[in-house]
Amino acid sequence: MRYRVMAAVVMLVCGLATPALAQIGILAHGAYDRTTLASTESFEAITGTSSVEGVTVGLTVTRLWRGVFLDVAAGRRTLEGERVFVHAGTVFKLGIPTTIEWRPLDISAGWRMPAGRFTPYAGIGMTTIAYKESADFAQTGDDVSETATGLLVLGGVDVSIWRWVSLGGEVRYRSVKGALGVGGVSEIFGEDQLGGTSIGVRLSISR
Amino acid sequence: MSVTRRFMRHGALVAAALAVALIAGPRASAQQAGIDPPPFRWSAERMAAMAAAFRDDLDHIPGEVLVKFRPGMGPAAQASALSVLRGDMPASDQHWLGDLLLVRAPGEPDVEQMAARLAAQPEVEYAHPNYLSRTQQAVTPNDPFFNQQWNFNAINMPLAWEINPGGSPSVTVAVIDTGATQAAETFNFQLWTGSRFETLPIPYGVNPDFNVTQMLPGRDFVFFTAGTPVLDMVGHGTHVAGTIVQATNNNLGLAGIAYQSRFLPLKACFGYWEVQIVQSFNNIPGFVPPSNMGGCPTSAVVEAIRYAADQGAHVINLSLGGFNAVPAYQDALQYAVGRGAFVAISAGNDFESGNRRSYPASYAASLDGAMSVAALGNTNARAYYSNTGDYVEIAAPGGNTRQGSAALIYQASLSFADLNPSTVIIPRFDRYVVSPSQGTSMASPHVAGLAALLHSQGITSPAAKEAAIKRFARDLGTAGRNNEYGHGLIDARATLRGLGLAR
Repeated sequence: MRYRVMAAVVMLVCGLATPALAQIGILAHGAYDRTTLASTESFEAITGTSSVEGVTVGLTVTRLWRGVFLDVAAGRRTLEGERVFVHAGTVFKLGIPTTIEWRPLDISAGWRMPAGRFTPYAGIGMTTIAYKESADFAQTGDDVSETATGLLVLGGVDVSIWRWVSLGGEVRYRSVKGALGVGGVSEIFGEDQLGGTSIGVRLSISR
Repeated sequence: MSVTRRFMRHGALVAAALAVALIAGPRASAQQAGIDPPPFRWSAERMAAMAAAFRDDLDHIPGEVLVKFRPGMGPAAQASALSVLRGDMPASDQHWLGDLLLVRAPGEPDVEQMAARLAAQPEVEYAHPNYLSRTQQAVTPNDPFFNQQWNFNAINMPLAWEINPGGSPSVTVAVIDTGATQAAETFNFQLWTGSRFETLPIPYGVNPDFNVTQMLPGRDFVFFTAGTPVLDMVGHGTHVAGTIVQATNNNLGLAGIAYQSRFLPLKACFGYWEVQIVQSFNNIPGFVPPSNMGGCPTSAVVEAIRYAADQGAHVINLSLGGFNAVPAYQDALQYAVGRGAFVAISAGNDFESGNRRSYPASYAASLDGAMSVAALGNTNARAYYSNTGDYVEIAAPGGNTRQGSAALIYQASLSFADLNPSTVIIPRFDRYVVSPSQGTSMASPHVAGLAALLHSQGITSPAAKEAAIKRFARDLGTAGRNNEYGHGLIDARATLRGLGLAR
């Protein structure tokens, strides 16, 4: 459902941009990034880390009107860990394997400002994060599969390195409140943020 | 001097009649030659004191006081404090139990006054009589039934065993109780047979549904001087231990919660037969009144708790209690928890007899790492006998005769027909049957067993075990913690599965 909504938004924006259609560009990008999850203590308790690396891919429609762009990007991160009990700040691992899947789908609009080989950009939008948590010995209703939507802010710079190819860096900040914190260790640590900050290197190809 | 026998009325031991599925131990004929027993721990003099306790229905052992001196008191200061007692105080009448001194002063006519005199000394932190606690097993019916361990379903054990099948041999559970027999042996005891003393072979057997490779050498704090062997002549300790460590998946008998754990049987309680044997040994003719079913001297319980902790027990079960607030219990519990042992304690069976506070259970509420346990029947309602109060922390199945025989707790234990003091002159302790019982004594080992599983899964801190058991308990009664159920009924599966990130 959320994919259909996002596709509709993309088409709507493209539709509004019809007069300038002849000038728009398409930019495909992929980033290898490191995401620091906002619910640090919760992720560290279960997985031993609050950072995860992976690839985010997306498509940007540029020059919708002057420097305006529309971007859609998606990623998938998997973390392995085990269920725990927390008491007085001590985490006791219980040896029950747990897999967490964290999948953001971002849609944003922003402004690109080409200056020679450099094109800095910044945008704002929304992110929908699909969160799945599954563990051994689960009964019906034990595993978690939820989605939550929140704010996305991004910025970066593309550096043209060869014809249509650019290399750059990007930061994505996602804030998705209320998705956690009602159970599990996230409740104990009082952390309700499903978002985080991703910093990565991105390769983009445009035409 | 108040006297309480209520625990024994509720706790009148073991199933009168047993039913089904005999798990018989090795049969020893009455003519079989036995061996001489080791020396008894109790001297004739002390035995006489015990006999007086029974005769006069006392809640303490006459002439015995437990004393704790203030820190820094040396031998001279201690001797000064003890000088308030009548007569000389030979070293043989003083026995150290950790930092606690058990003083025997047979010449003192009033032990409470003796304790008060000692407590008034500036060198003394506290002093109190050597109280007798009782095992907290309630009366069980005579009806025979088929084995039904509904209690394990009630706490989600089948699913919990999927997560953690019986714990680990690296975890030690100490059961401080009437013991669990560790020797398949026949002892020649002198017994009064009605008109004379006879030396008779009395057979003992190990519960065949215990895995002997998991039994650690136990210790006797009340019967044999040498501390070994541990012999159960009541059946209470065997039943309680069975709920925790009974061999499981062995095509025999019944199941136990933490059946892979190692098991340390510590005998700190005794029953009718221990008294009868020692009385006969001391050439005192006659029978102990069958209504006098023994007890658990504070000195023995305290010594056993400290011993268990020193032996590295990770979990201790105390299915016993009394009405006397005994600081020595509190000290011993703090010592044990401080050394990493979680302690489960029965909350008491006195609800319909005044609902008086039970000790040591009352001390558990203020000690993270020790829990007092109430009992439920098979509808998850509080059993009619189970104490209520601000010290009740958790609930577990304990059985309820008023809900029918199916609502009792079944474990393998000694055949009551072989040791019923009302009908038996020459007992035998080598035959085991499926024994139905009820009491907070039966509830407590459910919590101890769960704690043992938690330990094997990595929750090593006693306080964390308590927190986990509380957190995952199923809330019963009025919402939140209440005086009937504490935090609710334990849920083994939920507790062992712990927490994920979001749920």
